[in-house]
Amino acid sequence: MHTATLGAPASPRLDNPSLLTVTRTEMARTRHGFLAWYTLLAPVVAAVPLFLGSLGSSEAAAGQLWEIFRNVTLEFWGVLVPITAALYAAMSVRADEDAWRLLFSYGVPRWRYLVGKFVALSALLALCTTLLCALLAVGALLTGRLADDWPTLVAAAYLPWLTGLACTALALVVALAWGTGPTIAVGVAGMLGGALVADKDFWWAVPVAWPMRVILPLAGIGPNGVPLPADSPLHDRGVIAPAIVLALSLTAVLLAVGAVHLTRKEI
Amino acid sequence: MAIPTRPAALEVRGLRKDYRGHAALDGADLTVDAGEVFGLLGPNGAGKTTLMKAVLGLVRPTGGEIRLFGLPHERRLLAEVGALVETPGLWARLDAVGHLRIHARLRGVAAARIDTVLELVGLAGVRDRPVAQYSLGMRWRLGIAVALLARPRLVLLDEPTNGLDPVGIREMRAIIRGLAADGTTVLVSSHQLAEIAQICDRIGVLVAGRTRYQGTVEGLAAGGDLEAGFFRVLEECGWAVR
Repeated sequence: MHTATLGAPASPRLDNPSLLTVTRTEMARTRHGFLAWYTLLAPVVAAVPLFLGSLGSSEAAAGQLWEIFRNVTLEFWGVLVPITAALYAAMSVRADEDAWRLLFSYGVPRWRYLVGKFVALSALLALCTTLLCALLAVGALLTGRLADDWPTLVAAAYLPWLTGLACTALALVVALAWGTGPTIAVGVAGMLGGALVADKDFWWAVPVAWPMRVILPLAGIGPNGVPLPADSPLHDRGVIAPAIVLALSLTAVLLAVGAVHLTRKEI
Repeated sequence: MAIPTRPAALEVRGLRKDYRGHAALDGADLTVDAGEVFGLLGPNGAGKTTLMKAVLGLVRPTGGEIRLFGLPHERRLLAEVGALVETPGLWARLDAVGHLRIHARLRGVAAARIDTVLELVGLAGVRDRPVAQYSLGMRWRLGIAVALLARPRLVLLDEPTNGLDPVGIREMRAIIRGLAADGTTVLVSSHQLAEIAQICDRIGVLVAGRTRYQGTVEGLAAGGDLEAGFFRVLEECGWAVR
């Protein structure tokens, strides 16, 4: 039996990637396949048919082509954010299922894998948002409304992304703990529940409603895409700041919970 | 004056792992000396994979002790370990280089090492082909390449010849021998007794989570018959052998 205890310590160079490096490896894995295609196609599949459909609407005939296109597209976007977050998380975690055994056998702290994946998926959703924003901008340009409406357009596209970070974190934790099916279920429930709850007083208690809730006052629409009456309390933009604070706080909590789960996870 | 000894690459003492009342490991002991090829034998469910997973930090032992390179087990020491356990853990849409690039970045390994390990496992010619198009043997070889990427001091291989054809088995044997020649310690589990006899310096037999034999191949192979020695150990443990 050996009695020596002086094994050389591991090189600090090894198994100590920065969060940026971990995120880059996540991005490298999502460059091919469903996530990449979804990111590129979802905004196009949403916006182009809606624009073409708007052309034949009565609102367009009344000279409100831009308004109807913008309203229905943003409404769709508010519904899409929770299910997109769920799809991203479910597919990304499923693709890693076999690889976790290898990745977790490294000296890399496991929380970095979680946060790296969260950052990568959030970046993908940001890219998706940017494409949608660009398509909306094209619609605004074609209808001569870009100069007036671009601040609203940018805010209504990116604030749902920001408040949707909590949806991404939630979906990621569910995917890691329970797998693909429950994650998709959370996404579908979020898609429906978000639209149903966004105009209720208790919207703040339902994270999947936050992306839609911030769209309502910015676009001046209800969760059904119909313009709000002038005296509607949903015009109040004071909800945006609390929604952002809630989203960022919940994201931090969920990532902490996910990190603990991943650290304790046995494979 | 005592002569300083090189610490064992891996020491396992009284290792236990319980799963809801079932003991996958029931006080396993193992010492794998630095630079040797150690074969881990045992019937299905003996705890071979669980033991490797415990060493890799994939499962938390219920009791006992693991020491790596003479030091108490801790996460940073895994930087010196490479492994292929159960499956190679590949992403179907990525090619070999894509895989190795990801693992090289995570482990802090220079990109130049990628070519070396691809040559070593004989995948240099198909480096840009998606893994989905690889045969089972090619996938295992890529798994070995990933395991060797960071020049580990200890390599854990869990049934590395599973599903390989005779050519693949011969290549795997050559790879393991090459590792040993470079001074890398290898812990390999297998059901292929003849393979183990050919490549291992020492062996251990795990039955029902306990180490029932640890020593040389010759010590177990009664009259040169490793299979007979292996079954003798099983029978001594009360294992039903028909």
